[in-house]
Amino acid sequence: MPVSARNPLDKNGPRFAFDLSYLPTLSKYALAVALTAIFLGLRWLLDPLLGNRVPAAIIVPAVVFLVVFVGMGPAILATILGLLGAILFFALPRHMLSPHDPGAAILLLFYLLICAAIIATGEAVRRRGHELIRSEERFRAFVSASSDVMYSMSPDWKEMRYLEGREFIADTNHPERNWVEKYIHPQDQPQVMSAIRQAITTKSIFELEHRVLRADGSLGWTHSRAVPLLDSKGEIVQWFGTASDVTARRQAEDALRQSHETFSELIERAPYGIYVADAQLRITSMNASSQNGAFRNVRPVIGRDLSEALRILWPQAVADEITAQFRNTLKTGEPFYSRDFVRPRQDMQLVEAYEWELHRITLPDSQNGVICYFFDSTKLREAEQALRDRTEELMAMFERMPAMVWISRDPECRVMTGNAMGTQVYGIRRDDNVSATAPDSERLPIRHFDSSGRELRPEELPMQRAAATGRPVENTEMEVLLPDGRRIWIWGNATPLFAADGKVRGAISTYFDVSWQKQMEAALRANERLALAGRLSATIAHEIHNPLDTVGNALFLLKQKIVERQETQELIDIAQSEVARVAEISRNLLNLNRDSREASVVSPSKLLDDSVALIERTLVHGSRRIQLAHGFDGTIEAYPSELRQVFTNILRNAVEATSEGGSIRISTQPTHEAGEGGVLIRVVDDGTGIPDNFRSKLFSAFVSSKGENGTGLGLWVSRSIVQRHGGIIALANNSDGSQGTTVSIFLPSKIGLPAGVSEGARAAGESGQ
Amino acid sequence: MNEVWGPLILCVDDERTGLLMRKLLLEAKGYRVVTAESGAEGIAILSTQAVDLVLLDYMLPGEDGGVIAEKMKKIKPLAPILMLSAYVDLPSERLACVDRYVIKGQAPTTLLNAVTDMLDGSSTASSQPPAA
Repeated sequence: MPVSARNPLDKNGPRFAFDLSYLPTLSKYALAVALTAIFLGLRWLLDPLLGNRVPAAIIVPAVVFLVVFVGMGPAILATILGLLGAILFFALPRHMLSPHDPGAAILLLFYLLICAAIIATGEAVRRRGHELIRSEERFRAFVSASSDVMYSMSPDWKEMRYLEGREFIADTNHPERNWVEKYIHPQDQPQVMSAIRQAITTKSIFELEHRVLRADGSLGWTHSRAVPLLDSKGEIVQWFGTASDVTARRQAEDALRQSHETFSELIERAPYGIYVADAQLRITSMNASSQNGAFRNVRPVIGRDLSEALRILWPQAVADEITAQFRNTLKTGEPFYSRDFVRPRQDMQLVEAYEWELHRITLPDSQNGVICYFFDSTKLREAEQALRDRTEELMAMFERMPAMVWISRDPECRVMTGNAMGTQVYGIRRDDNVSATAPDSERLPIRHFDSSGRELRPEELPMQRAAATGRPVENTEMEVLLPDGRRIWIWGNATPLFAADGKVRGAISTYFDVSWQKQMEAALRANERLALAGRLSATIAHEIHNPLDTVGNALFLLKQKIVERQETQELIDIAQSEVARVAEISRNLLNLNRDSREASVVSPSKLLDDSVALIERTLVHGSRRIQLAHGFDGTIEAYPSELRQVFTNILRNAVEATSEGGSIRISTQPTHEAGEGGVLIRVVDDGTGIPDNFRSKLFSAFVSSKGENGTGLGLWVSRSIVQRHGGIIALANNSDGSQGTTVSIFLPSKIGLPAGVSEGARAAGESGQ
Repeated sequence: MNEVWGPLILCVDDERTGLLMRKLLLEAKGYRVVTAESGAEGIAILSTQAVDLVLLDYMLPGEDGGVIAEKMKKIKPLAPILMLSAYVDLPSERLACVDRYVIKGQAPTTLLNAVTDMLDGSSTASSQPPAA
């Protein structure tokens, strides 16, 4: 398309006033011929008037005009035509050019016709060009209205001539060679340059969507198009381009794509398998979980016939069964949910379990398809099986344990049933409810007593306490009166059971029948009393021999009658007092051994005095000092002979631990322990202290630091006696830092305190270790 | 009472009544008796007087009769020691330095016979206590 070399869509518009360089070449030459003809005609007309003096140079202004405004070509043409005209018309005599001369007139007319034809043609062409310009102006206006950016580029795109950015991107008003850096996002530059090269090579439209730096400094997206403007020889003279701001659309597209990608990712990475079969039961899509899971041995799987794929996975019958379900769902639209699908794989030596379901869906081709959701429940089933196995083991253990186990599954322990051992020991039926807090109609006549013989209330029982407090209740010993009238001793622990929300949902307890052990302990206790008496007897015998010796000597002297009368009386007095001494020792020994099962009101200070007297008579020789300091002169309820046994034991230990010249300080004082009034007895010696290796087992049976001289039952019996009184006994090394042992015994003023005292005593015992 | 020239017996016992009674008994039999209420006092007397026999109680305050006997033998190895005790089963090592052992509470003649035997020097070795 022939277009003027000057930009018709230049911002400043075409300059029609003088600059005729935009005219088509032909028009320029026509203009040159016309101007030559006009000046030649002018001369011809003027010549007769001026007397043939008009020079040929009259053509010069026309030539100058052409040179300046039209071009060198037309100017040369005009010069040649002017010279020819001068030769043709003015070299001849004037009469030969007479208008009457028909030859000359015809020649001139012909000459003018040629000029007119040339001018007409040029004008036609010029008009066409003009229309084009106008249409391009309209195009520009249209482009301005519909585009955000207009720009012009040099033919090789090296230079941007101008760019009107309309606030989308910055303007360029002067030729700019660094336009790439100015406008194009660095990552998109290679892509842009490649598209430009392509457009230049093919001389075709440049079109690309890319990122640009926006006027406000942010990044935007633009859709850019540029057309090459060609000259008459088909060479690109410039590129005219427009660009639209497509940022919002791109962002919307990005968001959409991202959401789509997220969703796809979600499906793809879902922990369960998803796949779709079309109306022909071909697998059309499948997520990664399916592909890498159940279908791991089917490659490729997309596009494969469903039943064929399934036959790779499962034995024929199983594959057919699944395919039939697909077909049914596809046909009827009924969803299908698998149940207990555990099958051996065809492709592996495995049994796998799956939960799967089918739903009919409409596919993009608007035909029906079936979507299958599934997950591999093999592990779950294995875990379930393992849980079943463990439960079975626990149940077997519960059932066959050689201990009584009671379980209650309500927080009030209203229903309590036991294992085989429990029901057997209790002599009851399996479904009997042994709970003491059971409804009246179900409750069995079972009663519980603590070690002091006090009957326990239902809420004091270990399981009820464990459930009520949410804490384990340990080392409980109780005597149980069974429905058949038997009495047994049980020992064990109870612990609460918690629901998932942390609330107590019941309790469980384990007990041993310790009746036999209790009998053994009673025998041991009796034995210890005898042993204590026995040990004392040996020393008593020693001490009795002293007065006996004196009495014997006195009697001998009296019998020999070798003493004076006055001396005789003296000897009799001595013998009498020595005999009284023997009697007192004997009485103390008997008191120790007397078995009084009945509690009575006693003075602990008096009992201590008696024990000290016994010990002093029998054991203490030389310089051990026993100091008594009574701060308590009241009475308490107690079993006197048992307390005597405790005091004698403790004192004996103190004496044996101290060396000659040592001291034993005994004190009593009124005190309160856990709100109970009573007496605190302290026996402090300056002996060897508690050997380290006995600390943890001071109160255990058969533990002695005295070798063959001890039964190892003294403290064990003492503690059980003190606990029977509801008291506390503790041993510790002296608190003031001096060497020796301090024994503290708390005895309440009334025997038989509620449960908890035994725990207190245990705590006290532990604190003393 | 021809006690003036009789043999001198040192009686050691912390129990004053018994000691007094033993003194009376021995004096009635013609012995001279000097008493001590502790082992230390006994050793002091032994080292200053010509004691013919020591009658030593086992259970004494501080050091027991066995230890005292050992110390006495170092001072006067030839003075016979008769150990008296209410214990029937004293370990033999406690009696290593003792010439004879008599249990308290037996008939007074047992003690007197033992004393006579030992002072006669008939045999100290053969009179070892059977209950050792």
